[in-house]
Amino acid sequence: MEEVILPGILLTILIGIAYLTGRVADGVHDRALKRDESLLPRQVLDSGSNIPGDIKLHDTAMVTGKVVIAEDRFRNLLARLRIFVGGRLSAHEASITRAKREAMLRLRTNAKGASHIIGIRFDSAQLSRGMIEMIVSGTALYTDHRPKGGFPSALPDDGVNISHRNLLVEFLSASTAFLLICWGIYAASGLLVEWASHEISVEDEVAIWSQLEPELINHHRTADDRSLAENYLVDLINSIPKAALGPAAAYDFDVVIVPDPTPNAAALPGGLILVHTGMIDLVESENELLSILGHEIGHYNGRDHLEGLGREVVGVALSAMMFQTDAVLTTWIAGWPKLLTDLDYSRSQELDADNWSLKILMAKYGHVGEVARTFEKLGNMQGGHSVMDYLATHPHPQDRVDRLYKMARDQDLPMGEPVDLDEAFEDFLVRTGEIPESAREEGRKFSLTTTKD
Amino acid sequence: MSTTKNSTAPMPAVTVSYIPGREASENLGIVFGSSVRSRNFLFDIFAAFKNLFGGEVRSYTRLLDDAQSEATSRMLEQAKKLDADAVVDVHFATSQVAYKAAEIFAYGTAVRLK
Repeated sequence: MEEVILPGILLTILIGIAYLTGRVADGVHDRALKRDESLLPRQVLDSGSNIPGDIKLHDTAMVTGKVVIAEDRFRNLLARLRIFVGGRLSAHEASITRAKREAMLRLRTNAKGASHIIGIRFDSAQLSRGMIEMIVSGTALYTDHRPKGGFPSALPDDGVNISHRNLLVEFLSASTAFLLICWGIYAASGLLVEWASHEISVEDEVAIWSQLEPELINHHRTADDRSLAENYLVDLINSIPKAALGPAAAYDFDVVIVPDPTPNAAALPGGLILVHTGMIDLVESENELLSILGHEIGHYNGRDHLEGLGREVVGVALSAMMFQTDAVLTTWIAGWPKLLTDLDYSRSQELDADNWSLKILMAKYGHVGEVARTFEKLGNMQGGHSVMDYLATHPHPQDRVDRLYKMARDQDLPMGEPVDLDEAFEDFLVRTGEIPESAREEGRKFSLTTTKD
Repeated sequence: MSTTKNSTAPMPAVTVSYIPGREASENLGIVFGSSVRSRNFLFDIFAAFKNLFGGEVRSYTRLLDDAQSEATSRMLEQAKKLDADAVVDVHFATSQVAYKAAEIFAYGTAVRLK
């Protein structure tokens, strides 16, 4: 949440400042142009090459006038929006016109003593994006002829080249159109993604995912590659009766414990479940832990993990298109780590996943005791950015607690005594021969072992 | 010629320094018109595809067309404000002020005819 809101506020402030400074620069330049143009002597300006025959020519010279004008960030953003939406870029019009007038002014100042400037040519260069460069060149004729009245002392009024539209109104309309288009694309692709994610079978998913990003995630971890705590979690999942897992039974689950204080867990394609240490620190019983894992398994059954991934891909593609990064690939790859920790689902998907949680707890323990215990604890935690992060993508913990208890009541599911997590972990260690039966000790803390490895 | 002041007739604009058959009496200075336009993202995507296979990008040609005619009409509007009869020595130039947007500007010398 914060990584979205804070830069957003900063950006708005910066763009607001850019808008104000841009307006000031605009006004100052405009006044300076008007003043300087009125001071210029009368000159015959000609874009053709007619050397008037009836005058006495003293001298000729090539003269130029150049100017580079930078646009403010606000106009830049406005222009980008407009380019996406299509139409006239009124944000640029004022600065383009000022650039021409300024270049012209400099040309004429450089040829102050000349009565004629003929063969006038405009040209532009591109130094940098968001800057307007103007070069004007011509041939100055120094004659004894003094142009009389009838010639414009300045460039004609530039009113016709600027559509007098309030930039803020323009910004509002362009950004509204932009957001509508983005929403449309996102919604349309969302339907496509939803359809596709239900079409992909578990086997295909595992096969595809194992081809991707091998340096990011090791897909073929064996028990030796995992820490003891991770092995315990995988063993816990495998101990669930297969019938209770639904379609997700086809996965060969792997669990990775991520050292992150945010209480969160995520389901990645291919049956890889991420659990943050911040989540494990909250958990006191095996039932609570399985409730969380069962919730993630529920996401696999809803194919939510693929949908979230697909939506993220669409989001990255949209932003790449909008910001026109030259290295689209860079943006794409930069989106991946975010994707791994930020898989967020809709609230209804979360509630469906909670249903699977109940089903799995019933199958494993014959009761649903402590199914909502972790959420109760989350609800009691006040403030703190990590909790805020969690709340952004999940239903409010108290709502979930209430709903879980209501679902348990409605289905007449019994509440039983929980299994202590530390004892269950010790049982696992003895069962797998990691420690001898005699080495059982009081207070072996599961949560400590997760951070050791 | 009295017919030249007909306000409904389009003002002549030529790329040479004279209106054939007429004589200029007075030079009114440089007039210019500019236009910056863009097509929307769909056309941009389509154009990017076209770039793979080659061929004319009609949507961009139309963009240039629109920009050019707007620039010309703005230039003529300026000339009209000066009470000119024609614009001679018209030149067109382009610049790239923004990626995927076309700026075309037209400039010429406004003249009054005899």
